Amino acid sequence: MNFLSRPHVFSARLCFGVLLVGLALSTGIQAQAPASAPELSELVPIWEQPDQPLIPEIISTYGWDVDYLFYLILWITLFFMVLVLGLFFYFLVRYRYQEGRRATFTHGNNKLEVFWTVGTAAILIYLAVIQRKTWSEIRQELPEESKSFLVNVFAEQFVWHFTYPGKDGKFEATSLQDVFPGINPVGLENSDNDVYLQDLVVPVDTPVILKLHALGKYDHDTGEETLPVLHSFFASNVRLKLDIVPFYPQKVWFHILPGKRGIYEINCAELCGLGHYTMRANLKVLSDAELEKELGYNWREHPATFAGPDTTEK
Amino acid sequence: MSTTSPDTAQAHDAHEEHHEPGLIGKYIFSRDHKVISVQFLFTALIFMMVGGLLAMAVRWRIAWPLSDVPFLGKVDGAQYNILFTMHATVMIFFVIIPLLVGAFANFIVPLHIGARDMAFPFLNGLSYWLMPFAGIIMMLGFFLEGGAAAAGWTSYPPLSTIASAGQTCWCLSLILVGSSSIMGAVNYITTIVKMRAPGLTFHRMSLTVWSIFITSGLVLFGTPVLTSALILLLMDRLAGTTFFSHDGQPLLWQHLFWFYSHPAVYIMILPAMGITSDILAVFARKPIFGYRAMAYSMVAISGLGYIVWGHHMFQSGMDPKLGTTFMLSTMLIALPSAVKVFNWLGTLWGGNIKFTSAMLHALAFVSMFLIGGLSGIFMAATPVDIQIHDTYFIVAHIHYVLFGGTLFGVFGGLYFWFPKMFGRFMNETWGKIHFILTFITFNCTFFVMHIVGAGGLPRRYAAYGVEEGTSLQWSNLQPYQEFITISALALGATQIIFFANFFWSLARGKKAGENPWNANTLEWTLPSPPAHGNFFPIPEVYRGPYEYSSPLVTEDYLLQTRKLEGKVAEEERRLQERPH
Repeated sequence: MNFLSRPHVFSARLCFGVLLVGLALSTGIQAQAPASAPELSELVPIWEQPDQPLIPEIISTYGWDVDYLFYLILWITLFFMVLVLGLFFYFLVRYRYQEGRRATFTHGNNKLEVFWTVGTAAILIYLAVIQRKTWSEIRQELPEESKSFLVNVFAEQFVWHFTYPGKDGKFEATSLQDVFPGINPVGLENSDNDVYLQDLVVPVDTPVILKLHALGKYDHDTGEETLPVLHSFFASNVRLKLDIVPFYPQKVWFHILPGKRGIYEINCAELCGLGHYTMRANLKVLSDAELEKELGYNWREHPATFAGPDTTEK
Repeated sequence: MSTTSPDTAQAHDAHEEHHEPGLIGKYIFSRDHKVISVQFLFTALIFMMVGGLLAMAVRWRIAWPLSDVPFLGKVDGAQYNILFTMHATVMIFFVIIPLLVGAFANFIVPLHIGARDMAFPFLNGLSYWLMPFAGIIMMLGFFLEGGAAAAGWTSYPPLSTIASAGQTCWCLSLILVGSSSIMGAVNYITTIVKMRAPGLTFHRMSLTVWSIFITSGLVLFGTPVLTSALILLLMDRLAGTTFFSHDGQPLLWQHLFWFYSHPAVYIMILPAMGITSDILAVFARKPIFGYRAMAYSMVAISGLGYIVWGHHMFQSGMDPKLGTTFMLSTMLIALPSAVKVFNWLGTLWGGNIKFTSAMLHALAFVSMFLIGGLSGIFMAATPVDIQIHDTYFIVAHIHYVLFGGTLFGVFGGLYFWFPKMFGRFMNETWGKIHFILTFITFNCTFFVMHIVGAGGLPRRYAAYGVEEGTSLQWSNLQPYQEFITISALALGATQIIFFANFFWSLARGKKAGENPWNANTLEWTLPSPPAHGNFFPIPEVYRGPYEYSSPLVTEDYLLQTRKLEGKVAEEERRLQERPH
């Protein structure tokens, strides 16, 4: 999507830039992908690239829809802020104390009151209506599983784990008793079939569905279990955030725009304990060939499903 | 509408007779609403210092993660979580709420409605005395193994279920605070409904009294929900139940918590709105613009306030369809707030505005609340909230409302009522210096948080890329972090001026007369400070509280109790019946 097709978005960005004195350029236009793509090993992670904009680069299909609403609301609220603060300071100067002057004796004006209220209500209801579509697109309309790249996401205090279905197209059952850090980090009952990675690797320009699980801890010496806690899957470049609720796995989706191959970051956005701020993972958006190398199989030849045994679900 | 019959007045006289307190009874276990108010005030000011220092430690840790925090030394992730959890808990439950519905409500309600005391003086004292105990229990957490509560002021389970013993202190303490609030609410509602002076109808009450009346309603129906949820959480921790874990639902806690804590946001702002309205009218020398719209918009806020809690949970895993419902109700609650801002502007229009310290703080309330209100619309938009939920944008928003709004309102109220509370003025020059420095450093601290937050900077992180193994994406924002921290440290240091002025003025301030601001409400007919029992006899009220610059009299104020005679009285009756 081209920013020029949405002039108001562009001008809103400019206006925001003026607000951030001296940083107008850094909030500017999306960086385009370089023409000649570097090798995977030479890819520079986004946080090491110079001159990152304050608002992270968008890499997903719905990213612009989110930011469009952001800039629209920014414009509207800026307008009201300038209007009200302008009147406010004008009144403070114009009606400052003068000896012997008497204030206007009035108790209000019902017509003005109704005009202001109805006007504000119209804008608020307009905002409420137009955001509905984006919300349902992101959170209520999952793409078809058979045409999507599927990943099981496990969030543990304070590590991310990702498993991929493997050639059999099914996710293995997991159990907390089978968790052995370093050997079987998420407790796959049959660890041969699924592929485990510490990074989230996804293809470009293909729908991706994630299933989010919270993982507790198990002490093999004492047999004691520690409850899984809340986490939140947050990929700012994707414009995606959803809490991971223990015993209640949920699915979310995104679709990376073509030309956005690169290395991005995933954070935890819900307080999960003392290491909350260290809970990060790489989001690697790869070409099909690179993905096959990472996973050890060509996922497009092995369509997958989330259906099947899944003991984390209650 | 007046309900103060001779019976209640007599009952009150009888109560006066058998309540002749000694020194301890007078100043410590007092039943006098003015003394209890001052007790709440001092307790809250002490906690304000604690909460402020905690905030400064939090900011230091973020800006310079590798260096020692002064007085604390090395702060690890666990200790950092304690710092911000306790900062929020202390500021919300031990500073803002006690200041508004403890100190101000206690002082103003009986004085503004012409009552000799609260309806239940003993209950009033009890509601105060739960606070220091709650505070001690909360602070005890610091000395336990594992330290004080560290699961955030929202204490979402299962993290709060498996947390160390400090979390138990947190639950117990807040159960006491909740009980204290409920006792206060019952008292205010009863007092306001039953004990108004003759002639003081609901539509002649000051907006401060309206705001406390409405706030008490919110407390009465909201706080029991939180208190019950706290008991359930305590059971999960101590008795092995699983309300919020295992087969139970972590989301259930969030629903119960926010069912109280969203109305609590209004509990923490409505009284400050009332105080601000009163101060604006006095120093603009004008009647409140749209008095009824002001009162009814607060009623609307409290009504809608009960059906918007889900907007804290858009990204919680709650059914996205519910998100749409809560989005709509949240958009609507912006409406009454907009009405209030409009009427504050209207009140300033055509006034004769005196820039006293109290007025400056009230004006800051209006402008900062405007920004805090507008930034709320971003979070109400469900898709935008995906990006800015749990980021510095929300930190900026809540501080614009609670510091930029409420705390400026509180400062304004203190400069305004200090003469009535203690019989002396606070120093005006230092008041203005305090205001200007606070205003600048406040905006430097929190406005910048909007900017970094809009990009998605997650909150509650102890470091952003500077420390090994931490999130890398946000390391380019470190200069902003340092700027915010330096501003926050300056903001904290500025408050020394306030505290020095406050305590110096207690002993040495200029003496104040009965009505130093030429204000209209009933407390300004009494000596400063008013004697125990306030009104002898109970006054008769003839008009609303905001008749400033009335053409009926030569002065630019007209006390609610001043009886007009002859032609002027007829003219007033004609004016009162005319719709505006």
